[in-house]
Amino acid sequence: MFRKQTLKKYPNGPYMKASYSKDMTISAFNTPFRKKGMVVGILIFVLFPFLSPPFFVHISNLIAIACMGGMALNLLVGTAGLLSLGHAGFMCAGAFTVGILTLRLGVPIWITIPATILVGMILGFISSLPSLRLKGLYLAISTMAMHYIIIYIANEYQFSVGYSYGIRIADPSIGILVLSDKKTWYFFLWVFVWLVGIFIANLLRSRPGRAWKAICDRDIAARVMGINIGWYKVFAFVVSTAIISMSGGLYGYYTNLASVDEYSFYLTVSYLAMIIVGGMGSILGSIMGAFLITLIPYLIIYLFGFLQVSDFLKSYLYPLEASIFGLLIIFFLLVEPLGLIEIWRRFRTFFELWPFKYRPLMITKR
Amino acid sequence: MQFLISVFVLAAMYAILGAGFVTIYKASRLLNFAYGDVALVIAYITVAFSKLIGGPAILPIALSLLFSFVLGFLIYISLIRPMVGEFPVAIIILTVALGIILNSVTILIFGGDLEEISIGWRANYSPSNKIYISGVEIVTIIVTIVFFLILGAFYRFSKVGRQMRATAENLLLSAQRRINIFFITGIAWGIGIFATGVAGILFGANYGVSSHMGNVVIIGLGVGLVGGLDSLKGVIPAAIIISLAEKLGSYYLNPRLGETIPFVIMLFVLIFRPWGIFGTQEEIERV
Repeated sequence: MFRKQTLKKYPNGPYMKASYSKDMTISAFNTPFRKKGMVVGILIFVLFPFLSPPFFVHISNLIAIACMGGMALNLLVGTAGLLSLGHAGFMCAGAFTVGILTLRLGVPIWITIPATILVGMILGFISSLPSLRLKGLYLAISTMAMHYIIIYIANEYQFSVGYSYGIRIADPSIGILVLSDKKTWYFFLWVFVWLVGIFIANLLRSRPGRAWKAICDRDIAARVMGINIGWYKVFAFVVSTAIISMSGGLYGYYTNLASVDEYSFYLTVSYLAMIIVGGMGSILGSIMGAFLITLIPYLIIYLFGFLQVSDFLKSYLYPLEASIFGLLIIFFLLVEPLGLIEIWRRFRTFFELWPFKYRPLMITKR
Repeated sequence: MQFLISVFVLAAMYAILGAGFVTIYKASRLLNFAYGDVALVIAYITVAFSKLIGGPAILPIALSLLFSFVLGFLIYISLIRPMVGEFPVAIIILTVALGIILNSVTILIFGGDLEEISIGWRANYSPSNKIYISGVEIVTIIVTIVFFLILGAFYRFSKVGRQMRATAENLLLSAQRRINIFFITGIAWGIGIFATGVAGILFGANYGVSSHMGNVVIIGLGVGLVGGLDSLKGVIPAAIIISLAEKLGSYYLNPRLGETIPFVIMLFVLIFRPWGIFGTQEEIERV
């Protein structure tokens, strides 16, 4: 009985695709449960800012920015297998592009955001040049060098302008709509997240995505199959860095500030934690990681309030948070290298097949 | 002349840092991005030991150097050894995470204030007019020369050093010749972290220990890179080049530029000559 129903629902089984075009579709809402889930999800998404306190809306905006950066970094590190330690530097470049353009020229948002994308592309191209003949280890060095160089230039600019705390960025306006309210930002940012997600999902299912996966697994074999390795490596860097820089620009707009102090190496580590905890090479994984990693500091503050800890410990919030991120990274790398997404997949498979024990054809990424 | 002295003192410290990177890279083909934070930990531990023990400065320094060797061995055994066979990317991220943990734990325990390591020789000398050289600087240069002599002798003459060279050259063959490669690699990590400890203490004695020391120490990576990551003899010229560029930049261009110039050099070396001055080219041209 159960088997018949299942067959009716999924004629080819939950994981099997009958035709090539079916395999190519973005399969986010292909089952009835997911369709219902989507309706509920959209309802929650729309109603959330009106029902919850503004502080939660603020946190969800931060999560949206983290989602964008996380997805872009995951594209680079997880899918293409090119390590980047310059995330904070690229975000800083985006924020300062917005800051300088609005301060000097008073340019509106629909010019500054493309400008951040352009700046990110240029920076990504420069830092991808060593990747043409080198692999992971050396790329880590080159992107880290990029990080320090960008931070230096931004710092110089900040000093020369004379804002010790950072460049103030005015609230942007699109037409008559001024993006100053947290609720307006909420919709604006999450639409951006959605666009970025669709863009990356499209890239991953088409030729570049498959080429990146091939290069990540075995570059010599990819070369034999006729993939232009150098071009695709540069392309991965350019796309990912452009999105990261854009998220930095949006973050600058959102906090109304472009300051060097926010973009330390620690930020890079937190983004790396995001993609490792979430799951390398998966869009849903980076979103999960972004939620968890962005919420952790607030959870710690809440716990501190709940446990009535002393002020002495409260002053050490920042190092405590950093060490928790580090421990999370090491724990996931050693114990569950595929991240939360793998736990979720196991959980889902268990319930999907509940009366049965056998596993269907599963594609495990390794 | 005064300028040259400062360059050589800085180059001495960078050379030891670079030697640490190169030792670890030769043995395990990995880079330790937790390097700056390890130096920070060891410098603070030296401060704590010297406050705790007192007496002559050599005792706490020796203790903390022993600690640094054990720390390096433990890092390899507990964290890097289980990751053998994974993507190098994952192991690099692991060391980055280790770095941030060490950094924050150090700040949690020691507070991250500005401290000073005393080596018990505070004299200042001026051999001629306008030239000043302090005892700490003399000690730095002597320690560097002695360190490199001992390291070279160790690699050349001792049994473990010979096994280490064999492991660096070909992992599989040396394993077949009954070399315990994991033990040897662990010893190499111990030596690498030991070198960091020496450099960290020297940095602390020259410029003081603060929570920002890690940012300076990571320049040692550039030293290893410019000299060639798998060549120990390239470290010294590379250290002199980098420290000269850094000091020139901060004297003549902009004082804040100094710490950035090594990274610019790193980027150019990576793009145009990624195997460095003395490194072997085919080692990395395997993409």
